[in-house]
Amino acid sequence: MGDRYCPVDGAPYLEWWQQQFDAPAETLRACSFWQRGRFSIWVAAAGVDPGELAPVDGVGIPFLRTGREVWKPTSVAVIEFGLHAKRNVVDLDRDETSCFLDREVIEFAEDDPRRTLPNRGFVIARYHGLPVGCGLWRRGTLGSSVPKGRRLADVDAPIRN
Amino acid sequence: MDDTARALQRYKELVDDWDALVDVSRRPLPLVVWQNPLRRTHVERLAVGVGLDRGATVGDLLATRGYEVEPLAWRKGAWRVRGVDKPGRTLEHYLGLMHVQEEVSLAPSEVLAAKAGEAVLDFCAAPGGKTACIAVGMRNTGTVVANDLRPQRLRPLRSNCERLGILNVVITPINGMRFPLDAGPFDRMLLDVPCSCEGNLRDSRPSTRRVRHSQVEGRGGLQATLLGRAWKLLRPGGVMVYSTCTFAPEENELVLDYALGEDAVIEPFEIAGLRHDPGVTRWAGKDLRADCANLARYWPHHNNTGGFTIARIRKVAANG
Ligand SMILES: C[S@@+](CC[C@H](N)C(=O)[O-])C[C@H]1O[C@@H](n2cnc3c(N)ncnc32)[C@H](O)[C@@H]1O
Repeated sequence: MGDRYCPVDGAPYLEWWQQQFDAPAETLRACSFWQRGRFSIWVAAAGVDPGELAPVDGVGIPFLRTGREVWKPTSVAVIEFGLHAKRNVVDLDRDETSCFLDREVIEFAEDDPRRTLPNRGFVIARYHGLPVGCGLWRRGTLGSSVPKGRRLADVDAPIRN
Repeated sequence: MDDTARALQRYKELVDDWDALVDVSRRPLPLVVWQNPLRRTHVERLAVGVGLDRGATVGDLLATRGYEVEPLAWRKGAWRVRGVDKPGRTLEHYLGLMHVQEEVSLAPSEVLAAKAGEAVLDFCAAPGGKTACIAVGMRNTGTVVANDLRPQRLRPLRSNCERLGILNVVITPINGMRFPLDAGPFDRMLLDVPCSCEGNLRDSRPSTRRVRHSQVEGRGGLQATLLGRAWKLLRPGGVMVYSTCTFAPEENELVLDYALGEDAVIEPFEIAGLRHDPGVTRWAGKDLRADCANLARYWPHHNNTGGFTIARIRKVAANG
């Protein structure tokens, strides 16, 4: 709290996003990028200006965690910007999506075609073509990065006729 | 006489049908959801995915889940919903396709009518339902500074912005009484000040049911101080919306009468489909500014909502 948000050049993060998800970055290119602390990159609308205000407790939404060898996109960023991703995407059915949103690890069978993903990395989990969050793919298993406070037990709750 | 009636006793002379007011105040509030206009493509994909038309709305999606949904008469893309489970526990909510909010608390952002690209200050913003309405209304452009004294109350605000994909909000945890004056000027601002919350009698959460009558008079000083500070941050020609979820003239008309000078005009307004009564120009033997009549008093029994009072104030040249 009260950390500084410094404007940063978004180019490296845009490039990473395009690479990672083979996704057009027009919407992102029209955004401003902010760094908070050493490893947290936030994304906001282009015209957003906190001016001389201090302390500031948030600018736009968190986008990316850098610092480790692999960068980790946030689930909220994936939902916001991931609609047109073509690479590192895992399409889930209804039961799998429920597990994913409940933060369970999903294991894919040996002959599941989705196993063709690379061995390890962050991916976009999708349901009905809609990004639902960021997951960590590891040799045929998908871990969920849905924040605890947002978990949802069942995509069809309460019911869907 | 029960607590509810006792709390409303002092407004007998202000309201057309006091019995109806007391009666509705004992009943729970309808729940309202509004569709997030920033997520149109998301809504379309989910709708197609579950076998609805491309043009289906969040209301349609909720209906397939067994909710009874009824569109609001006065605002597009918002519905009263009834039934089954909390709408906050649905995929539509998780994905930020919608937000759950009390109906009448959608009104201040309508009255504020912030436009794309403007600089807006929401002075007492947490937990942030109104900030979200303002920010999406500006289609993710400009800047909305969402401020609140209490950092922990700003957490749900931040979480909602993240969920709804709101990119034009800056959050500050600053005491409004000391808000830096060089942070302005702002084109518009919302002052949804702390109040005694009489209008929340219908809210079922125990913490909001307590009517804090003793506070009705004590609050006026804080409200006037906050207004005075915020006023300095508003550009000439700019608009401030002052609102409370309380009926007490001491927290509404009297505050404006005390705090506003000649460079302020309380403007009349109307939300088609949402009935309001005029503000009072005389209370407890005291005559008030004539333009206090332009305040809007939303009584719970008129629209089956919570209670609310809203003033739209424009800053004009002091001697103009
Ligand atoms: C009626 S609530 C605001 C509700 C909010 N506008 C919404 O729609 O969710 C009033 C808020 O004023 C805040 N507050 C109280 N004193 C304040 C001060 N001195 N400066 C700024 N905010 C203050 C409280 O923490 C509280 O969150």
